[in-house]
Amino acid sequence: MASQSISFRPAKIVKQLPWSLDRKAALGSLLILTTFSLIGWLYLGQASVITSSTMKIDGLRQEIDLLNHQNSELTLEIAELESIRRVEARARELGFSPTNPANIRYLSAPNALVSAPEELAGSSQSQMPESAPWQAWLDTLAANIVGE
Amino acid sequence: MTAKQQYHNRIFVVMAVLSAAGLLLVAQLARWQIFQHDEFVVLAKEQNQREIELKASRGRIFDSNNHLLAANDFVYEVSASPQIINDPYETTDRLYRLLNIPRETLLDGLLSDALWIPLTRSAPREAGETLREWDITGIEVNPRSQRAYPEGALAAQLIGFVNDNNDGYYGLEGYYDKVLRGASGKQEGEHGPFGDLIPLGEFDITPPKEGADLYLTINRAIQQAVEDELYQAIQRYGAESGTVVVLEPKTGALLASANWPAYNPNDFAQTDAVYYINNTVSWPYEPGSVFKIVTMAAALDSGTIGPGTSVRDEGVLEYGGQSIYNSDRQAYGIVDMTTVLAKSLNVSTAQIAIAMGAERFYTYVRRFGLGRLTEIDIYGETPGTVKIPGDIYWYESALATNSFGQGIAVTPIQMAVAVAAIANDGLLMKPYVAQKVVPRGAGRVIEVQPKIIRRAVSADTADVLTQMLADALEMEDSPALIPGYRVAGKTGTAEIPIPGGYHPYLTITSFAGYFPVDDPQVVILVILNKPTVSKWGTKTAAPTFNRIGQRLISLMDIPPDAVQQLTINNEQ
Repeated sequence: MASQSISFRPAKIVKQLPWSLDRKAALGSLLILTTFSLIGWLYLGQASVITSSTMKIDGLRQEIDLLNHQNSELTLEIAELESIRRVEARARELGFSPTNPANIRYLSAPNALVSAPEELAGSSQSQMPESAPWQAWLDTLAANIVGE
Repeated sequence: MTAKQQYHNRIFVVMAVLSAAGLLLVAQLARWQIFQHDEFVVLAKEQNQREIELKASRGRIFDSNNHLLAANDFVYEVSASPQIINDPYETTDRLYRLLNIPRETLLDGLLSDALWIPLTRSAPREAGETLREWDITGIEVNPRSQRAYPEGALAAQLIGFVNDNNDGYYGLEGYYDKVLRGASGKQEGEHGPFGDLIPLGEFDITPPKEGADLYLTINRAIQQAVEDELYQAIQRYGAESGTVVVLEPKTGALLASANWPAYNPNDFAQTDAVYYINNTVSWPYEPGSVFKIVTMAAALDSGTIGPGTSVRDEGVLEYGGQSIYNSDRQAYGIVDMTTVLAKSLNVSTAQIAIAMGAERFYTYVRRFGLGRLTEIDIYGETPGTVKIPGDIYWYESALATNSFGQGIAVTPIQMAVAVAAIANDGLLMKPYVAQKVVPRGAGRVIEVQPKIIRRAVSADTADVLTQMLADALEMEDSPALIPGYRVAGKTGTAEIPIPGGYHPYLTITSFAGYFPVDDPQVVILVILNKPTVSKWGTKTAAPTFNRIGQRLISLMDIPPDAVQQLTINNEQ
């Protein structure tokens, strides 16, 4: 039995390796490598798309939140500008005054007679000033316009 | 030993050591990966799994004409992590004016050893957005919802307020807190070290359920008019406080509820908590002669008296060991029931109650819902105090004093609802403020329908009493009367109980009335607490009723009696 020396020196190990591969093995290895590369590339591509989409969705969600905030603020601002105290103050500035029941005139059908509440109630203590002729004419005209 | 053997031995030792190390590694990996797998999964989750609360937006509150009464504004919470701020001096200089914090205070905070310090909970939007743009390392800026009331102090006690933790208190905010606040959602998943969601990690989002919107029966124009008139009355008559309740008698819908002093719910934290209380539902007071409406209704309905019944009023009545007098200490001789109401005679009213008997009297008091909750949808309602025979503190004399509204405590809403029952043909309605609850998103709209609680008295009794009340006001030419409209109502002047008796000169004045009597559209209860110009309801509360009534006629388009009669005739 011939003695066989085994060397663990790296240079010897490299020399002893079976470097000569056959063509089929090389092709198989290349195929496997390509397949894995393709899968890896697909995975990374998809992951990249998902990540960018997620970030985009997150950005849009934040934009929705911001728009909702701004919408709430604008709604509130409108409500504040429309508040009854502000509207009343502005109306007074423009020369309007609160309605008094004594100033409300009801048109009675069919002849469109204009009567103050006190007159209709038959009150002798009417606080209403007498209607000017032009006022009566205007009221009659108004009644005609509304089709009475 | 040859060199070759030594060489082989060394190789063996090295291989053995490496194998042992490899085995150790494998064993440790097996321990971590297999035996302690669950433990490490939990540990990993603790580190990268976070649950973020997605806060629900609180529901808004609208009046009956869809005007916004309560909504949500956004402010910014700003905090700092002093340990990671690069230049505290420069950061202080940039922030202190923006956040309106004294420079020294801010600098002290940023130079401190604390890991985290709050800077402000309510930075305005502009400041918050500027800070977000600056993106200073160590300064955290988060938007936060804050309740806002665009009408300011309007209906403050009725609406209530919401604190910084989104908890509703008092009024409707308190009563409907669960409905308005909605339910928070959550975002669970793997987060990066800066708290951002890892895109490819596992996550689960449960969206928040937004709070429902509330639509009220309150009309802001009516509310404003009533508050204005109440404020003017308090100034005019030197009263300490006041309450006005306006109800729609046919439905029980609350049209306005005003209290003075009021507060601005936008600045609730700056207000004394005593002003948060809604006296309309929480304040038991002695109603005084307004209560004679209940006594008279009970006597008429039980058949104890009729509209033509007369009694002898001798100006004083001894009953149950107590002397009862008329308010002016006069005797009126033989008087009919309308005169009893017109002159507001305590002695005659007590005689009627005594003739009726305690059992029947208190049965009617209960039928009118007094001494128990009306169950109106406002936070903090109290039942008042009605002692009945059998209670330890009920004495025989209570029947007489209770008949004209002394020794009995009711809330303004109870009194208004009781008077509204007379205006509504004897039917007692459940008062309500929210007419519609509208969910945002999926869900069913809940519309509140008027609810009859019970019949307090017959329709005939209610009609007869209405005419008597209207006649009584006209007999006395009451300042409550409104030209063109027939008004039914009753004044009240109640002494204020103090330890050992009643206050010598301070009173609670009130007027409860409704109009037009043929088709009542509104019930108005005016209460002025401790007026100093006059202690009488006729001089203070009745004129206030008149002014409020006139405002409501315009706002609610209530036609005068004659026009209404003409309309009815034309329709026929």
